[in-house]
Amino acid sequence: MSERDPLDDLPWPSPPTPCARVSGAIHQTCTKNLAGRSCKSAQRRTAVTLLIFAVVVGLFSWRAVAYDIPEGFIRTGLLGALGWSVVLTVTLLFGLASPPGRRPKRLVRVAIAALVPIVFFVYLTNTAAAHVAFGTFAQGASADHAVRCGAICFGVGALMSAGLMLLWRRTDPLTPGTSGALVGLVGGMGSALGMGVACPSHEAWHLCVSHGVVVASLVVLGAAAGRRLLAP
Amino acid sequence: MEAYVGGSAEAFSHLYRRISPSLMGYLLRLTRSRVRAEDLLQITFSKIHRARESYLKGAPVLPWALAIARRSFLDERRAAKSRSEELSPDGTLPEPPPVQEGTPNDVSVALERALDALPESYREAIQLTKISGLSIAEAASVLGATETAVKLRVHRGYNLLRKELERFARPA
Repeated sequence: MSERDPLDDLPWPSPPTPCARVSGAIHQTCTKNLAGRSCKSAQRRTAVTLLIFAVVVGLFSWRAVAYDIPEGFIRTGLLGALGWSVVLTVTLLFGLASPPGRRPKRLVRVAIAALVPIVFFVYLTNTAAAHVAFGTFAQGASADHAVRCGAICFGVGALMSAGLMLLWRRTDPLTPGTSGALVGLVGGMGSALGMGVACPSHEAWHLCVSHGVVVASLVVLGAAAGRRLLAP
Repeated sequence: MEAYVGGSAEAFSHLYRRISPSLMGYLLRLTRSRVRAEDLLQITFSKIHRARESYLKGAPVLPWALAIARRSFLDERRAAKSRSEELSPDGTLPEPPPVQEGTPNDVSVALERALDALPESYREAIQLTKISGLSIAEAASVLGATETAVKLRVHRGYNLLRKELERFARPA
């Protein structure tokens, strides 16, 4: 039988009530403009997030067809996007789809936000059609192309992440940084996978620098922005 | 909470009656000043009002509101640190709160004093678990700490409280 802690019998103070003036002021503020609104569920927001992901990949695919990217490259990119969309769906269901307070432990969610970009780097190096030395990649036209491609990828990813931040705005007072990192992850992955369909280069360094780094940087930026935007 | 989001003022009154004592107690324990705690309570409720549409169905309301209160407190403290000392309305520097000395003759007063004398992290952990009635997991999410860390803080806080109250029980 467990021993009872004598501290349990102490006269713990009962929570105080605020004074009438403060209660009145709060009631006045909080019952103003109380038009009927609905709170969207986390599942609904998750569904919209996946829809945005699909739209971004779809737009990149349309661009790939318009710019005559070889059919094989488009097919590989789309298959990759399809596979990663399953990973992202699981990530969203695990990390964001339940309301704050009922989500898995923060450590698990931080591990997801850190591990998925690492696995993505491994995926990129394994799906690359060509491997050249870094010195060769860093010189000449391929470096210029990598910068251009990376800038587009980052821009689209940042826009997508910003949109998702608005969708999830003020929803998580408990772990806004972690949720922000996951939102940044989805935005970055959406852009990088879409770019993977539309980009004509399949060289390993190019994929890592222009596509992979964007995902990692948006996860970090998402964590920082999430602290401000996702907390009420 | 969902009825309040739906536009019911009565639901807000009910919500207020249910969570305001816990929020006030927590803020009072953090600030040790009734005036500051009431200011922060108003800020917290105005944030809850603004964020009501973003409330995700099914989220436990009290930890959600306590996390907002804690964030409001930390923001206010950060802002106060960057401000220079403010003068009282009569133009003098504010007096520090008087230090209570002597042995209290009531155990509840002794407990209050012992709680106030605890380091902030222990005080917060005990306030949330023992007085506000949150579970260890809920308190950990409000404090942004692991459950083990919260258990440790509560345990160490209890040890300090016990020592302090033993002095009360056996005055020299």
